[in-house]
Amino acid sequence: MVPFRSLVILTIALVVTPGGPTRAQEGADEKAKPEVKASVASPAARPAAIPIESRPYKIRAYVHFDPMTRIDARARDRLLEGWRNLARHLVGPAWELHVAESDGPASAVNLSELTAAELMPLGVDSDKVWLIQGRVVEGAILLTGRELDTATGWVGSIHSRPVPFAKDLVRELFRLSEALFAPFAEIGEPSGDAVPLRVQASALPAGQGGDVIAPIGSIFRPIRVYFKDDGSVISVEKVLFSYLRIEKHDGGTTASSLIRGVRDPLTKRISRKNRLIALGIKPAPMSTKLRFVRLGDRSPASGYVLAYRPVPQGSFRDVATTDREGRVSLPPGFADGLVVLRLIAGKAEPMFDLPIMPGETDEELTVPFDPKPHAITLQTQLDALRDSIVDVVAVRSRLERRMKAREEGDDWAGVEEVLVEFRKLPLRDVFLKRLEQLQDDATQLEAKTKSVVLTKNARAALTDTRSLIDRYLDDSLIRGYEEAVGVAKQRNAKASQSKAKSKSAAVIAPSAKPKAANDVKPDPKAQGSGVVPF
Amino acid sequence: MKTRLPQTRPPATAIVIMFVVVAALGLPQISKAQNPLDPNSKDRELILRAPFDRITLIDDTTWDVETLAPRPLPPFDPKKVKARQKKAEPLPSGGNIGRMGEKSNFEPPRSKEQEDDENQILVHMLEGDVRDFKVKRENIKAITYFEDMLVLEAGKLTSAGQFRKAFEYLLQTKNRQPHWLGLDAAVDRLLFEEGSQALLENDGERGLRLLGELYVRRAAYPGLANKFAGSFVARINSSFDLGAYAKGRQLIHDLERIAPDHQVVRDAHSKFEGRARDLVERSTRAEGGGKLDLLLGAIEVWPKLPGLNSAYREAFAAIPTLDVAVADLPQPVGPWRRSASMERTSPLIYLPILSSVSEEALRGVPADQLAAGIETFDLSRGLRIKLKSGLMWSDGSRPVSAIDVARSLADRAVPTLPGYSARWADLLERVEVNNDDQVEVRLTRASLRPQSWLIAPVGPAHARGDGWVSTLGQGRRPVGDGRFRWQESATKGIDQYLLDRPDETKPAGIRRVREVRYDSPTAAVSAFVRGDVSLIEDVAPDRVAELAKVDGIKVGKYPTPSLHRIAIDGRTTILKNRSLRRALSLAIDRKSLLEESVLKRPPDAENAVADGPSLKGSYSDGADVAPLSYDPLLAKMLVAAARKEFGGAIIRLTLEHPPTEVARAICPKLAETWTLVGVEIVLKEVPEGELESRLRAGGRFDLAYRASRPGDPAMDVGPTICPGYDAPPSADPLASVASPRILQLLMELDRAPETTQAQALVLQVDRETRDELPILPLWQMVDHYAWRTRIKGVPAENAGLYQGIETWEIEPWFPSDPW
Repeated sequence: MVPFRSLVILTIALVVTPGGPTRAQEGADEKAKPEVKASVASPAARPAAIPIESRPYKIRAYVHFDPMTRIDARARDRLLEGWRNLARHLVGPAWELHVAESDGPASAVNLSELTAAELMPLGVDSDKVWLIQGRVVEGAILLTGRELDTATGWVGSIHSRPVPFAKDLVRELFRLSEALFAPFAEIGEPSGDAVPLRVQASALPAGQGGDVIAPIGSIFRPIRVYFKDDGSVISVEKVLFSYLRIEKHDGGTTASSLIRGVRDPLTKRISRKNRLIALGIKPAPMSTKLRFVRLGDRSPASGYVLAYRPVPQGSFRDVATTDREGRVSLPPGFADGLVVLRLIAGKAEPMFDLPIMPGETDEELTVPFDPKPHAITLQTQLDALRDSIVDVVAVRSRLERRMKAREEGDDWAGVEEVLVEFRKLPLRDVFLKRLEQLQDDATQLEAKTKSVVLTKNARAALTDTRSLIDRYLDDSLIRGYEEAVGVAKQRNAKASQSKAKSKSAAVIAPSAKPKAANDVKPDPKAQGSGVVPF
Repeated sequence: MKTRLPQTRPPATAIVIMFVVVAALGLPQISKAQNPLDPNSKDRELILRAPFDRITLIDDTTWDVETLAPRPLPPFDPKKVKARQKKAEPLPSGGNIGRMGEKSNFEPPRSKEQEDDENQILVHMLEGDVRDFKVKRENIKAITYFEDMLVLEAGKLTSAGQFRKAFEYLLQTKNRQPHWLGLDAAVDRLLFEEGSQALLENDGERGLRLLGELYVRRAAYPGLANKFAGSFVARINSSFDLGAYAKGRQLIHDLERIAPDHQVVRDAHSKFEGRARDLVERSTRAEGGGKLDLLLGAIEVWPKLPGLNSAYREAFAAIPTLDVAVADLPQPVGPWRRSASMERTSPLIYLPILSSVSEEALRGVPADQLAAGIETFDLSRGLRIKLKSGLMWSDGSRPVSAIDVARSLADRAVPTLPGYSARWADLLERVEVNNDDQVEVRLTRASLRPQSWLIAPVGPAHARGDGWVSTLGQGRRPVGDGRFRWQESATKGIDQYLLDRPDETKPAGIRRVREVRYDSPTAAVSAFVRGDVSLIEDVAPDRVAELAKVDGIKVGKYPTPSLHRIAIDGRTTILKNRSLRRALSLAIDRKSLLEESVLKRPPDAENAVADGPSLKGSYSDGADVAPLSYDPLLAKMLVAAARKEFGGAIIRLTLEHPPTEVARAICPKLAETWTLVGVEIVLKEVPEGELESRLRAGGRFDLAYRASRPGDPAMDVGPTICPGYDAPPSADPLASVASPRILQLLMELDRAPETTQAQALVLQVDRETRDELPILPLWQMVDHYAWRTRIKGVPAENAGLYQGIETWEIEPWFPSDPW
């Protein structure tokens, strides 16, 4: 029910009447994106007396409950009052929450089709406009909302909260507003990836709920605002694949780290007048749609594995495989916060790392990249080489154990048999040569094609393979066994010789005293000793 | 003067007393306990005792003695002895010396010693110090020989039902004295009793075997004929009730030989003939295939029924029927190919746009296709299809037109429909119907051989998504434009019919095909050899030579070998582990399995171990690819490494396989091999059609045994490696390719615009498959089919089982008994 709908419409009409000065629409360039007809109040326009950190957010909220929710006007008023109280209590002075008496456009608009142009007139003298709808879905109330930041004209993602029990409405409404709320910040002079921010209302005392504005770990999205000399806004564009993570609060300044997927996203090397600001961002319950295409021919990157890890740290987990069109659709809620996506070719060759906030936009994001085909081929060849090495190592290990056992049993003939088998295996040098050949070929290919072949991953794989060879294909043990076999053979030969000598000495001795055979008499001593003379 | 020979015969009583006294002196003390180990111990079973005889003297005492010889003793008549003794022949008057040169005729009286030798026997007692005695025959009342005792005991055991024991006794008797009196009769009795008992215990086979033996020995044994008849009647009735008529007739024949005039024989004849007559009578009210089936049923019951032969031939001539033994029936029938059974039957029911990608087909020459011509334009990004005219759908509703083709092509891009193909959906931009006989297809990009996509069957546009049409009075049925139309059988799941279209009548050609599914390949071959079917789809490799030698049978081969492999589902996380896949591959001794379990002979060029997804000799086969090794020890180590990576849990996988001869032989061996290296395998047999349909629809699995005949490698290598390659994306089928590298190569291959690039890619896939192992290649094998020579026109090599069926002819045949 919108009792004052006509008044609202009139208000909107007054607001949009040309000539009326508005903070949002002043000097908007028609070439700007239709949903972004905002203008950022130039520093000169903002009251200099109140620093941004101390300025609260003026939030204008329009809340509508579908009649099926059975929330009448009185209940609505009670609910909204409760909500305001809760916000005051938990957030504190940072929010100046004004809830419109009537539903306003919240009753009429489709949140998914909202544009900034539609919402801007509602944000007069406000920093934020919230449109919140409550309706019944599957027997429970579902609260859905969207935010417009009047400074940037940025329409945030749709957020929703289910409310299974009516008594939880106030709390869930507050939770929804927390999710909707995107704090505003001015980006200072970055130093490497360390970026100082001036977050609006960050200096105001926090409520009982703690730091709602810019808690440690929260994420901001940098936005570049292009404006004319007179301060009017030309366009507002988000800085792609770049985010700011709040690291700490230092007095009035908030320190953040830049998490980027592109080089130098906050560059100052832009000819047009522009200014960098940041808006808070949270994961939204929407699918994240991506499409990966190859640089050059824009052919789809099919069959690539997409993995993600949470920010700031965590290990990568596979989440999807690109389809024939190079598309993936990550389901809502696959991650709780900012993630880094990694597109992997082959087994483990990363194509790129890209930060992204889940559900950030309902539009498909196309990501071109260099497929590095030669690097993939090299990786495959290295994998095959490693498999061969592992196989040989396994066989060698078995043979070494066998040799050891035979050595312990003094079975040198057996050791030699095993050595024969050993010599049939490929030598260490064969693998080294193959590895070096691969590396040389890759280097030459890099020079020839002027493309990356020896990626970081490939280099690591080469190093890893080399150490595999060095560690496990060491021939010193085998050489040791070969020597030992040689020594054993010599020893045996000497022993045989001495035996033979002693035998022949016994044969020679009688001839030294030539006598007739029948004249030889047995040596009694010898007989007594048990030795039977010839 | 007669001289009476001194009477040296003492009185019998005295003899006996003497005997007793001496025996008492000589016998061991009876009070001693009998030693059970003593072979003479009376406590031992007779058969375990040392043989002995029992002498009963005239005073009725019995003595056990060692066995006498000869056995039996010659008969003794004491009266003759007395007479001989009384009569002393006087000397003749001429003296007792013969003339010169002549023998004397005088028979001198026997001496006392001689008489004693003939009239007494030497016995050796079993016990006592003095054991040797002479006993006069006249003092012996009876001798019970050991053999008699055995036979008697066997008789008792037979009566007691201890047939095995009785048999042992009789066997021992036979070993001692094969022709002992009474032995044959005892054996006869044993056979009869045991056989009768077996029949009572429902062990008909054994009972009849025993009675049969008795019949051979003594056909006229009292009661034997009745016993036979009684036993046969139950089996004959059972065979009749179960429909095993051939067996029933065999039993009647066997009984006839034994008791030809028995009432049971006459009753059985009546029963069988009655059923056959009933079927013949019903056939007079039927027509077409129904009539033929009834007559065939009558033949199966009683082929010798008068008039049946001619009636059957006449009915067969009206609707020549081909009976085919197949491994599986397509379920359900429709205008797509999701299994081998569908690939076999769909060309009969549905015409494709193109029968092949040959030049002739592109010009519209072959009769078994819809296209009259195909034209490409816009650098192969467009196809213009001109259709033939005059083709009608089998429901007679309307002719085949462009809208049917357009609908089919469009439906194949709809993920929810059964004929969906992901590659086609990716390729198709739009389909336009220019007029009734022309369709224009626009593709999203230039494609390698776009005509290849037109080989799939086309269904009617007025059918629902499953290709079936509701018809008035006949329910829903598949409607096609091929030479045959499908008809469900009453025995659903066991057989199905493909009927010639009424307007395609060719009197001598095959007008009806009946496909029969058998539970096992062995049963199929048996049915084929018996003659129940005329064509068999698949003959196991080790039976080819044997069948080829049988009269009236010929064996043909499919020219393209089939590639056997184990498909791997990469969606099972553990199978993404490269070490595990290598271990599974290293554990397979392909050569031995192929030689010993499949071919049962050494491999050759066409039947050989495989090393990748390509057939040997094809352009996609990398000649430099080293064969896959067999190293179970290394496999075990790799499994251990894989387990360690996954936390040490036992690796348990399911191996699904179809019920083919080869899969049934190999999969248990694979399971055993993998279990030995540390991977537990659960075997699951699934009907071929069901398995293949599910896999091609993107269904989840772990490992699956697959065999198929690949076509063009550039088009088929993807589905060869990944069963769900063309499945809807919702099933996430591409994730089932365990190697991301191979998946990328396949994706690149899909987009290859020209042949050179495609060939290079497919060769690269073959080479890298050896190390990446997205599948476990096993071997390639030439497959065979066989047919009976009553079918004319079947070629010795055929790409499809029914290819060229329009030119075949078949002669009627029905089973006859060999007697």
